[in-house]
Formats: sequence, structure tokens, C-alpha cells
Amino acid sequence: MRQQMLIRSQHFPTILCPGCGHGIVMSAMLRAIAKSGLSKNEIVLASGIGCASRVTGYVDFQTLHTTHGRALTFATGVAVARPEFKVIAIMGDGDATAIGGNHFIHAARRNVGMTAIIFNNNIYGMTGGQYSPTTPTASFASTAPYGNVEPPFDIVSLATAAGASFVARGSCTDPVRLENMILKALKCRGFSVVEAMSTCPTTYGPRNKIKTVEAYMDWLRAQCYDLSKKDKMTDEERRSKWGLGVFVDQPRPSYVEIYDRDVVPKAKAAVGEGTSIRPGEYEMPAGKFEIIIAGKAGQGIQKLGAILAETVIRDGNHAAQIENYGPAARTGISLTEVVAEGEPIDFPLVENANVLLAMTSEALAAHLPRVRRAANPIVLVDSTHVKNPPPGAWAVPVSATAKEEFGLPMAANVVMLGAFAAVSKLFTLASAEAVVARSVTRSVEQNLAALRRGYALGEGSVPVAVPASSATVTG
Amino acid sequence: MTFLNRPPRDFPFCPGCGHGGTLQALDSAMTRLDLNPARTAIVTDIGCIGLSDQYFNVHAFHGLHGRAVTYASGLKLADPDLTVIAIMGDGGCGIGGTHLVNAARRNVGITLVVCNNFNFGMTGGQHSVTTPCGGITATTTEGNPETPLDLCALVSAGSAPFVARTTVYDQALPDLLAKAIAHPGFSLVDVWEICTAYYVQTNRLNAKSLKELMAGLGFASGVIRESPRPEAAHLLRERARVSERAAESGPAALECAAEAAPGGAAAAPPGGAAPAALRGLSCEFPGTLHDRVSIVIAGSAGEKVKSCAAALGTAAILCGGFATQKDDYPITVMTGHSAAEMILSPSRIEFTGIDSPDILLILSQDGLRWASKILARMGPDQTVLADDGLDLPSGRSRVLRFPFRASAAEAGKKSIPMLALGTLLAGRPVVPLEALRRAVALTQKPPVAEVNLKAIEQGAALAGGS
Amino acid sequence: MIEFLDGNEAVVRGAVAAGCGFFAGYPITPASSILTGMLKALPRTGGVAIQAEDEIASIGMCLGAAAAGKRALTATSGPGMSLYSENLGMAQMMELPLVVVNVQRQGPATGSATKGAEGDVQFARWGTSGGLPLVALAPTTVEECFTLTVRAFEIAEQLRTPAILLTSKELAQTRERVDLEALGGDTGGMRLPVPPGEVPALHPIGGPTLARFTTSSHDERGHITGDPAIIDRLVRRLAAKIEHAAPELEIVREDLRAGAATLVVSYGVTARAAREAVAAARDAGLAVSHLILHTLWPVPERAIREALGGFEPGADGTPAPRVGPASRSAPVRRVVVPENNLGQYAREIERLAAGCGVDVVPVNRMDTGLVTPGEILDAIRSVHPSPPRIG
Repeated sequence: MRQQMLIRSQHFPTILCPGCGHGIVMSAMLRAIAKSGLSKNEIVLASGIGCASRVTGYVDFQTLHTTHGRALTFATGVAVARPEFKVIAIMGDGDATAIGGNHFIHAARRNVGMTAIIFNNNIYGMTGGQYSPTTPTASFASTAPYGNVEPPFDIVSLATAAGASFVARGSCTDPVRLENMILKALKCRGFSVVEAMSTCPTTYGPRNKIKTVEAYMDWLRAQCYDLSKKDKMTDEERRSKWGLGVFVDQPRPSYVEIYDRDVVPKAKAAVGEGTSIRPGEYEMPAGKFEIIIAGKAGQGIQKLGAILAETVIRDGNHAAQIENYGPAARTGISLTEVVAEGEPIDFPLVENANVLLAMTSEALAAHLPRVRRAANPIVLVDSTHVKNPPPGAWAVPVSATAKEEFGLPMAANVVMLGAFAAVSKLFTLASAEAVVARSVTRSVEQNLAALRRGYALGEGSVPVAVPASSATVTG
Repeated sequence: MTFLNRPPRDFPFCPGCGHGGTLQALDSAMTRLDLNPARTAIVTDIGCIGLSDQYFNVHAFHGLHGRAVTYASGLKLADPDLTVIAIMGDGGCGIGGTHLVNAARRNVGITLVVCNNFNFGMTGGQHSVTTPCGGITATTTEGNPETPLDLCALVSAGSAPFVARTTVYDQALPDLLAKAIAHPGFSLVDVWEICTAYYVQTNRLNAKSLKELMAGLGFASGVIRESPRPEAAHLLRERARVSERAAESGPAALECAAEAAPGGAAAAPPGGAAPAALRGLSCEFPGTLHDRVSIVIAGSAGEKVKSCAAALGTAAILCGGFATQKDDYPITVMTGHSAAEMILSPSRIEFTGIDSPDILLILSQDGLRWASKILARMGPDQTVLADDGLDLPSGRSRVLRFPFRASAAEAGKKSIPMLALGTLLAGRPVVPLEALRRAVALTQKPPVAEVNLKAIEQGAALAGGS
Repeated sequence: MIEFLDGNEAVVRGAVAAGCGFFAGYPITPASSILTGMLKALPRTGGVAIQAEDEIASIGMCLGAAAAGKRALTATSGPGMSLYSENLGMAQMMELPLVVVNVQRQGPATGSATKGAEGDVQFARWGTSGGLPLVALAPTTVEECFTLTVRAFEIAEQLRTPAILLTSKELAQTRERVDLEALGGDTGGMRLPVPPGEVPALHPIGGPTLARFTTSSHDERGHITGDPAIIDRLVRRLAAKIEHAAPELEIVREDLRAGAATLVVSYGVTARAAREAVAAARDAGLAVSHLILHTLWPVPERAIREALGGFEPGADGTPAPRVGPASRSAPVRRVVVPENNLGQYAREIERLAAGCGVDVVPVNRMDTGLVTPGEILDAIRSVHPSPPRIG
């Protein structure tokens, strides 16, 4: 494939200024692609915003000209969705290390198989010569009228620290070598980075007394040294200069390779029963059950609500669940609300609660007033924690049962579910067993046994006696 | 003494969570340094650890996810002597990675404490950028296929001057944090913790094996980097002081502020001579601008169309009139067309657009391409002045041709527009030539003005010959 | 002092005049010259200006500086405003004063970066989550880029809110003759009546009173809360402080003619074309009123209702439907709303004109060109009722 065939010549001349180094870099890239043996249609070129990013307009591949700094995000999407393509992302120094710095770090870390070519001319050219994160200290820029106070990034170090598989630095002053680096990068299976030192004779040169294109090339050449000569140079000689060469060439499996190798087989193996529910035809008691389930964080309150709602649905009835919790995962009162009815539910929140399942005395105290207005409320408490259940309530030692009989403190919620099934007849034990079996990840048999034990405890219990002239749960 | 306003048992974290330990170590470090609460700020990110600022008796700023470093930087840059401590989780370091590395590079003197527990705790245990490869989380149920980020290596690559890593169980943590806070530059301490709600539930990790994980990944620990570098906030304040003094004593003194540019090039004077704008324009040529005239100058980028147009506008103002100048150019700088749409008028100008100008100057092929539609709209009462090397389509307007480009060969292409303006004004004194000369002298630096004054004469001479 | 300046330079001068002490920004066409101007100007006045690594960092640093008590400014264009979005909401939540200049360009997305349009008008109002009101001002001239920048700082500080200055490429990069010194009396000294308790005093970070800023819902002491009653009080106060100040925030130019059946409502750079069109219409013997809005958000409802003529101020100062004999000879029948977008503010006029029997006639253009006086004049003519014939 000849290099000429890779360009959209009808769009020439390019928008690049006379003497700009980017043309040389683009040309080196095209020669590398021509040598790589890749076909035009295998290549996807993504770019952001900036002078370098305009390259996508002149090359005849599948191209994406995207938003500033985000080229790698689009490129990642293409590379992961279509791993058979060779994806190349073109960026400027601002694109890659300022606004897109985070994407650059994480693309390197994630090691998605693609090549990033950074056209580094140490300045924002397109917007008028503002300093970038790679502008040398003390240089002048339109936003550094008194000299740049910031130190520059070393893009090679950054890419290396972030975990790129291949990292090289070339320069438009040595285009043949640059071409070879890009060719090597294209052959890398993981994330490869080529930093190409370039020039901006329009906005950087004139402000920094580098007046002609020739002088600029001489200056850049003098600012670069060959990596092989690194050891012979002193720190002082290397200071604020750019070493040219391949810095990292440590192939490791790409993101897609690991994903295909490790994630996909496990995910396929994990496919068991689907989440779809085949509803039964159980006729639940008439009316709307507005259920508050409350306890302390860590008791599996949300899970209990979810299992309860799903069980109701499995029976052929209708249910909605609202989760409610504080910002920290396992602290404070945990609350969930379930509405269950034989008919489809419109308003899914508990408005006139008639059921309270309380796993602690704090939870009981906080929510008992909400059910007092109901005609025949069901209040079911864990008597392990609630020492003085109110008259009219059912009391079952769910936590103690789970811990002592099954050695499974976390199964208290399942015991509560069983007891509630017996007390309310809202749902069938069979459906509850099916949902519990699907919902718990460990100790399935013990959980099922705990559920049945809860049911038995519920069947065998009676509401706390109502002393004469005393307030009951119906207040 | 303590900076905590409530006992640690009141922290909102799950039992066994590492965050409480780190906060207590931070409190010890702050106590050890005897920080002044009124001169200390804690900036927090979003996440479980984002709840921590309210437990400290110092200034507090609880901002958006991933952006703590930007707020902390703003505080420090605005108030360089303030002690600023930012607390983030590993999730915040993920979304805010570019702020992290750029603050390190810039060396803003803030301390960043990363409470790193390898997952997003608050949102339900999703994997983060530091989740080890293979780690099981809510979003990597089959094992994380990604490689964890070495935060310390990353900010070290950004030349952060103080970088350290340890676990929350390390007795030396308060010491390490105190060192980091006392360091004048950007400092980062990566504190490894366990998330009892999520990460340790699904992975073989506990308080004891944190160190093993660190070693297994090959991540350095202890004080990893400690080197002095000038701190940005103080540097900028010092720079402002120099500039302030310079501004007081005139623009020439500003040169002192500039340092040597790379490559040994000497510093360019940043301001140059004070532009005329600072001295104001007065009516030096009263009664010479009679009519409202619209002029479009169409040339090439890099040939000083805009600054010549600005001189023409200035000339109109020197005549006691009004002027507007609208520039048109492609997004890039030195290539393609550059055009200016000018209206000169003795009275105030409202609408600045020009559909069909009274006068169109076409100076180059780029300019012709851009102006072709305007050209087509022009009628017999309107005038075109074009370079004689251009191939103009036939139209209804009056076309005058001059060798603008050839005549400017000697002085350079940057003098083409001014030369053409000389020709225009010599033939049709919309404003007097003298006003344009005066405008050039007032608005341009002496060497540039010299070239342009010559160009005006050359252009005026062309008019005589046409 | 007469000068030949563009809108961006005027914004920089305005910011310096307003005592701006902090700027952070990121290069973007056509706002970059505010960045370069501020980086040059602020060090000379003892302030700090920095070019950040992106727009999110720019506004983040500004909010940090604002919390430290500095008057802060940032400037960008549409794509950058998109990245400011989340932090703008945080500025509302923390009640941090900040002036944001949006030099509008033709969009969406990258659009035509060097071309003008005013397509971010509703985006300025609804550009962050939560839907709470904020302030946006729109200059029509280079001089107003200066004066309204100063105003924006005053409003931001007095109401502790982000204030947006909506300019456009057509103002930002258009030079014209200005005399900023002569405007001195017109700029400073705006005092908004702020009911006690509605805008708490700002205790800057680093000062003697420990300050607590949080992006989360919080109580009066800055502590995070989940209490619906406290949250309700907070958001209603955040909305009320802007809404209550709205009458004082109405910066408009009224050029109303009694009996005119046609009203032109304009803002931004299009107001200039509208001024020429209105003058031409009057020259042709048509009675036309013209209302130029400098305050776009909150909507200057009183001024618009008054201009519509169907309403007049009620006893309590709020506009009320007019009852009894008309105080004007005839109410407005048609409103021409020229906009450099596909019609964004016309809907606000429609809302206020609802039930008045008024036609709202939009004149729109978003092809990178300006709405011309001729297009507006055509709209005025086409909708203008013919003068009554005598005999």
C-alpha cells in the first residue's frame, strides 16, 4: 500500500501553518501504516480538538473527529467493541495531558489495545499560543506573558507510571526513526504511546526568540538526545531535554484479551435461572398491605424487602419496594417499604401503613406510630432485640433462632420472612423458598431451613396479650 | 488536644472501616503540628470519606466528586499561607486523575490524603481505578480485568515533591501525615484501608494482608519521594508582587520579571511599549470623516489584516468618528483567509454586519475565495480594489487593480494590507492619510510602525498611477 | 478616554475595575483573549490568574478562591459551559459568588468555533441540575461588556450566587469606539435590597470564623442533613433570594411609544440590528416600541409586562391584570422577538403574553450570520396593521 493512497487529497492543502512539524509527524505515521500491512479499512483514527486533531480530516481511514481531550474515550469504545480494528488516537499535548489527562492515565492503565500518538509542540496552537502542561518553565506564551512558572510534564514518565505497554518518544527532526517507533507501536497488543516532538513556528517560536522554521528545527534537535547516550550524559546535560527512543516495551495482555479470557467464560458459566418470574395464582388476603420493614444496618433489611416483594409477585400478585437508607452503608436505622396488593399498584409508597416488621427496639419505636392508625395492623417484632413488645404484636426470636439453631446470624431476615408468611398469609411458603434459594449466594440449605423454621415459629405464636385498659398496637 | 469535634465512635462509617483510623491519625498529625484551626482548611471529595470534614474543627469545603484537588488548589492559590488538606477516596482519584497529576506537576502546596480501599463503598461496592486485577466487586463479578493504578508512581511521574504510602494500621501513619502536611509543596499520602461493607466481603483481604497486597503488586511503600521544589502559590504571589511593582514603575521594568527562555533565548519584553489604548484617543482631525462607509478587507492569515484594520478604525476615531471592526478567520492561525469587516461613520454604529460593502479590498487568493459571495452581491456604486495578480470573476461593481503584492515584496507580506489602505485612502479619502499614519504610530510598536508607514507611502504612490 | 476595543478586552477591564482578585480559565475560541488578558492584567493588580488543566479545574479553582474570599471570574464558550455545569450547581448550593462569562459561539458541541450565535440562552438558565434560578446578563455593545461585568460582580457578591455574562463572538471579537472612563458613574454602586436572613454573610475560609461549605443539602451551620424540613427551607431560600431581588435585577432599556401596536423585544448583539430596524420603521411612519433586555435571568417580568401594555403595576408593586379604563390608547397586539438562535427567549414572552391576545413573531437565524435590520424590519412591516384610513 502506498502512502499516497492513504490521504484524502481533495482536502489538501491542510490547515497546518507553513513550517509546522505536525505534517512531518502525520507523514511518518502514514509511512508506518503503509509498512504495517494493515488495510485502510482496518484502521480507525480518532482525534480530539486542536491542530493535530485535524489530521483525521486528511487521512483516508475510518475517522472520528471528536471533542477536546476525549479522543481516547471514543477510541476505547471502538477498540473494545471492535477489537479487530487497529485504533489510533491522535492528540495534542493539551488534549492528552491537560483536559484529557485522566483519560490518558486510565487508557494506559486499562491497557486497551490501541495506539496513542501525541503531537507535542509544547503549546496550544489553535487557540493562540497558550501554555500547556508541556510548555517548558520560563518559556513565553500568550498566557505566560511574564514567563511560564509551571514545570512541564514528561509525557513518557506519565505514560510509564500509568502502565502503558509501549512508550516511545520520537521527533519531527528525525522522521525515519519516528516512523519506526510508530510501526512498533502499531504492532503492540496493548496500549502503546508515541510522543512525537513537534514544532509551532506560529505561536511558540516567535515568542521564544526562535524566529525561523530552520532555527526551530535546529533548536528542537539540540533539545533532544538519543536515549542510548543517556548514561554518558550528566543530569545537568539532560535537564529539560527530551530523550528519544523506546522507553517501555513490555507486552502484557490487553484489556480485551483479559476480558475474553477471564471474564466472559465465568459470566457464561454463571448464567443460571433468569430473573424472569412465572407468576402463580395464589389469592392473597383482600386489601392493600402497606409494609414497613425496619431494623439496623447490617441486618439485611433491604434484602428482606426485596425477597418479600418478589415472593408476592411470584404468587401472581403485585408488589413494589422502596429502599430507604442513610448515606453510610452499614450504620443507623435501615428501612425499606413494600406495598403488596392483588391488583396493580399505582402509588408505590407507604402512605397508610398497616404492617410493621421491626428487628430492633429503636426501629419499633420510630415506626410504631405510623401503623397505629390502621384498622387491624400486623406488628411483628424480633423478640431477641425487642424486650417489651407492645400488646397486640407478634413476637418471634428471629435473631436468636438464626444464630443459635443455624449458626447463621445473617439469616435472621429469612426467619422473619417465614414468620411473617405464617402470620399474614400474604404469600406462600413455596414461593418464598424459591425466591430465597435464588437470592442467597451462600448456605442455601441453611437459609431454606431457617425460612421454614420461621414459618413454624410464626404459626405457633399468638399476639402479645392485651392487658385491660392498656394501649394496644391499634392505639 | 484534638481537632475532632466529636468522639471517633460518632464517625458515620461501618464497623471496622479503615476511614476512622486514618482520620484519627490525621487528627494526631494536625495536633502534633499545632496547626491554627482558623488557618487550616480540610477539603473533601464525594464518597464515604467525603463525610469526614464535618468532624474537624477547621474550615471545611465538601465539593464535587473527583474535584477536591481543584478546590484545594483554588484555596491555596488565593491564600498561599493557608494549610490545605484534601481528603479523597480511590474513586475520586479515578474521576479526578488529571487534576491530581497537574496539581503535582504545578506543585501547589496542598496535602492530599487518599483513603484507598479499592472500591466505591458509598454507592455499593463498584470497582475503582485501584481495584487489584481479579478483584471481585459489584461491577466486576467475574474478576476485575483492569490493572490497578499506582497513585504514588503516577504523581511521582508528575514530579510531586512528597509522596508516601502505607496502611491505616501503620503506627507511623500520624508521623507520615505530619511530614506531608509540613512539606511546603504538593504532598500525597496513599493510605490503604479495608472496606468492611463490600471489598473484604468478596475478596481475600483483611487488615493483615494489606501489606502483602502492596508487596505482591510491587508498589513502593513508606516515603517514596521527598525533594524540595518551589511551591506554586508562593511563586505566583511573588510573581504578582514583581509585576505590581513593575506596573507602578512603567512597562520597561516588566522585563526584569522575565526569565531566560529555553534554548538560551533572551526574554522578550512582555508588554512592549504601552499601547495607545492606555493613553486614549482624541479627536485630532476634526470634521474629516463625512460619510458612513463600509469596508471589507479580505486577505490571508498571517498577513496582518486584523491589525491594519484596527489602525484604520483608530484613524476614524482620531477623526472624531466611530468605527466597528469584525474579524473573520478560520479556526487555525497562520493558514487560510483573514478578513476584517469595517464600518467607519461620523455617528454611532448599531448593526455591525455588512451585506454588501461600499469598498472591498481583495489582497490574496485566500481572500478572493472567502469574498467571492460578497463580490457577487456588489453593484455599480461599489468599489473593489484587488491585487492585479488575481483572476476576478466578472461582476457589476467597479474594479480597480493594483500590484499590492508585488509592491510589498521588499517590505514583506505583512505590509500588504497597509499598502492597500494607502492606495485606497489616497484615491478616496474616507479618512485622511495623515489620520492613518497617526493611528499606525499610536497603535503599533516602533519597528512595525516604521515598515507600515513606508507601506502607506508606497500604496499612496500606486493610487497616483492608476 | 476613547479607545478602540473589543468585547473581551472590555470584560477584562470590567473585571479589574470590579476588584476581581482571581481568575482561572482554559483556552477556547472565542473566549481565549479574556484568558490571555486576565493572565496579563491580574498579576499587575496583586491578583492571581492561572490557566488550569481543563474547564472543570478552572471553575473548581475559582470556587476555591471564592470560598477564600476572592472575587473570582472565569470565562469560556459553549463547550466549556457544558463542563462547568456541575460546579455551577455547586456554586448555587454553597452560595459562592462567581462571575462566569460565556462567549457564545455557534453550536451545538464544537459547532463553528469562530462564528457567532446566541444559542446558550436557555442553557444559561437551565444548565445545571436542580433547576434553581441564577442570574444572567447580556450586553449589546462593547461598553456594556464592561459595565455589565461590573454589575455581574456586584450581583454575584450581594446575592452570593453565580452570575453569568452572556456575550457572543460578535461582541467579544468586534472592536468599536468606547469610552470606559466616561461610564464610571454608570457602573458601580448597585445595591440590591436583600431581606434579612435570605443571604447569609460569607465567612471566608482562612478567616477567624470557621467556615463550612458543602455541596450536599445542609443546615444553616453547613452540616449535611437529610431532614426534609431543613432541605425545603434551604432550596426555597436559594430560589427566593434571586426571585425577591428580581425587580431590582431588571436591567432593561425601554424605548416605548404610547399606542404602538408592535413591540420589539431584543437582547444581545441582535438588539443592535433591532435598534436600526425600529428607527427605520419609525422613519416610515410606523409606531413601534422597543424593549432591550440586559437581564435575561431572572426574566424581567415587570418591564416586559409593562411594555406589553396589557398590564400595569398593581397596588403591591407586582404586575396585575389591568382593570378599568385603559391608561394607554391601545395595547400591544404583536411582539417581534429577533434572536440569533432558533427561538429561545420568545417562549418567555409567550408565557408572559398568554391570555393577552398578543401574537409573538420570532425572527431567527443561526447560520453563523447576524440577524439583520432588514429581516427585523420585514417582520415589523409584515405584522404591522395598516394605518387606519380616513374617510
